Amino acid sequence: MPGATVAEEAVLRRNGASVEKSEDSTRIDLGGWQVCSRARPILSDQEREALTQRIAHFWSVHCTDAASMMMASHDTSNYSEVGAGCPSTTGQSTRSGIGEEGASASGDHPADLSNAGHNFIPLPEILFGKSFLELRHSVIPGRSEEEVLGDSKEEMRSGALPATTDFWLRFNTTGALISWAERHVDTNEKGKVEVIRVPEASRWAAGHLGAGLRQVRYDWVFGTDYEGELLRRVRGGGQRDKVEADPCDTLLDVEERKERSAGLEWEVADASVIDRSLLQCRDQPILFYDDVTLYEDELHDHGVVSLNVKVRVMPTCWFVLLRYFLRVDGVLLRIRDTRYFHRMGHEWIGKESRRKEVTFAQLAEEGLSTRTSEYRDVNAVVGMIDSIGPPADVCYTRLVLHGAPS
Amino acid sequence: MYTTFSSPCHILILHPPDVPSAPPVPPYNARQLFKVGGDCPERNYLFLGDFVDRGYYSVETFLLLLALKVRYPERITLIRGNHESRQITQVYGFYDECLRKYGSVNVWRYCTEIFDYLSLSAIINDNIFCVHGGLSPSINTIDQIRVIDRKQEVPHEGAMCDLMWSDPEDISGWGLSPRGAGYQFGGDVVEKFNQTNDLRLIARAHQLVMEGHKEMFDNKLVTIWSAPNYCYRCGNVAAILEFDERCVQSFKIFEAAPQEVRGIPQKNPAPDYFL
Repeated sequence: MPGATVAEEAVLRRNGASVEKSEDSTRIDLGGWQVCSRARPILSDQEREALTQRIAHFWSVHCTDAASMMMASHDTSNYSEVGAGCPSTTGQSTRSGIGEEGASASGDHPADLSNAGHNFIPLPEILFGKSFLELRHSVIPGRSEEEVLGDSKEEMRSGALPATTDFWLRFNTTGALISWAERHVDTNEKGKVEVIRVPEASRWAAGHLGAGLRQVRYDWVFGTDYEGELLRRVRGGGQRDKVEADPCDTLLDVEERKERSAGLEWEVADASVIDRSLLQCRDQPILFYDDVTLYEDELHDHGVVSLNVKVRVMPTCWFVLLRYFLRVDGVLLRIRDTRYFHRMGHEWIGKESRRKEVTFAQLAEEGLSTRTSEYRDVNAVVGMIDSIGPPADVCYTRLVLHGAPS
Repeated sequence: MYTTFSSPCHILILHPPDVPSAPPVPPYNARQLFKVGGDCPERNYLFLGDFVDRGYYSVETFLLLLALKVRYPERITLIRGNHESRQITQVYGFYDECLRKYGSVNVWRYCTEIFDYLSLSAIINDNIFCVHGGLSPSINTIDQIRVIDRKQEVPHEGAMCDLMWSDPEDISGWGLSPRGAGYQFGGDVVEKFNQTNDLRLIARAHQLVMEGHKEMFDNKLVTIWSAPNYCYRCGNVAAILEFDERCVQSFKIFEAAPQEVRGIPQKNPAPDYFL
């Protein structure tokens, strides 16, 4: 499997960076940051099954309405149509295969749901569940772990925010899919599950919906609000921190996750949090680069969806781009980008969340090609669709690193 | 070529030992496949469709299989997958590949004409049904497949479309996919179809399986995947389903051809000043 690309030893040394390569992961240490990535083959059937169980378990625990997605699909009225969708069909049994009778299981019996439903939680076909990217903000250079730990205890006692050191910004497949699952829960509460329909859908609905045909409904384009996770390291207790132990996993317990990210809050900012001129400057070398795919699905030959994360570490800064790309042939193109930028030594991380969507109908209106083969390369798509339709939905935030050297 | 394929019936009756298999992409992996499964014409081969659209060598792969078909028409069987279609190949790469390699779309056009002649399914030893995708609610008996007018572009709906597009799923009965078009079928559907038609197994492809093969519904259906390291980066193994003289089945697993055989550099990402 391909791994991260790193600069030559001399260049690394000149810039005060060091690189450690293990069998399948690569890590760079620079300015109090450790950036580590790993690309592994797709999950085996067994690993896939384990991940499916984990997500099924999450559902059963975190949905107040235990039937969650499965029940959302039961009621045909509660989903919105997108693109070339067809009117929802009603009046027939539309309970999905998920959950079956287990769909009535309450949160008291999480196993019921996972057992009944695990076979049918349809994860993306190509799952790089052992791949990840993480950026760890370790102890402040020049200060010992004990000093920092002492500081943060002191701050906690005085009611101040603990120092935002020793945390991870992490990207992995499990987290992204939990977020996909959560969307079903959320949207269920709001009464809307977004289901995109392929162009043939309306014709099908007219001619094929007979007795006994179930509608199987879920977000088959694997949309996710995932922007990576920020998790603080917990010290002591004699046990190895479980967050640290498996960089491919995520915390399923919402409370625990909250606890672990306490003090790591994003505040509203502006476009200046991403220094584009610095990023465009090609004078400084890229010390560490990787492009890690988390999942992909060819949507049964109706398009493509992919979630990947790229990183580059340079002597003065690091930059991350997490990109969700969706193309449903003949229907729409959707891009959801999350960018992270940090200038070494500065006391904040900037984030840009950007969403853009264009339908094939809009492409046609603009006189652009609606041949899907023109929209295979995501980088080309980004440039092409930016000026079409309503402007992109963009939001800038920043995370202040309390306690970082000023 | 057309005579080779224009048998009046599009169910092919085969006798073991046969080796059904999903598409081998690309040709160096096809050679891996023959190395593992045994050379043609010593062994019979059946390929389950989707010969094109993935990887850099679709044309070479398809032409290799066609050449074998012409040379050993009784030994090689090719059935049609959903990618053997004009519309799909224009989206997923085969069209572009032909244009790039030959400077015109003639090769693509000739290939798509051949596609229309490929069989939709095959039966081995009277009791193993081979198809690319799966079953169709409008087909209860094998005879109903025999009367389909297959010499056409893959339609958007109907029995011919279903055979190439549908998927088995852990549901009961028939499911409409969340996409709004296309069928999913459950174990009870397979059970009934097999019983009606005196079959013991449905062998199909169409979906990626990491271990090369995946049995479902009490081993009454098997998905076979014969493209190792799919898209050059999935790292999956591939499988061939083999039947011996007594029609006893076994799987042969194989990996992608080694780097040096492939002549493609390992895709280590080139540092990129992305924004």
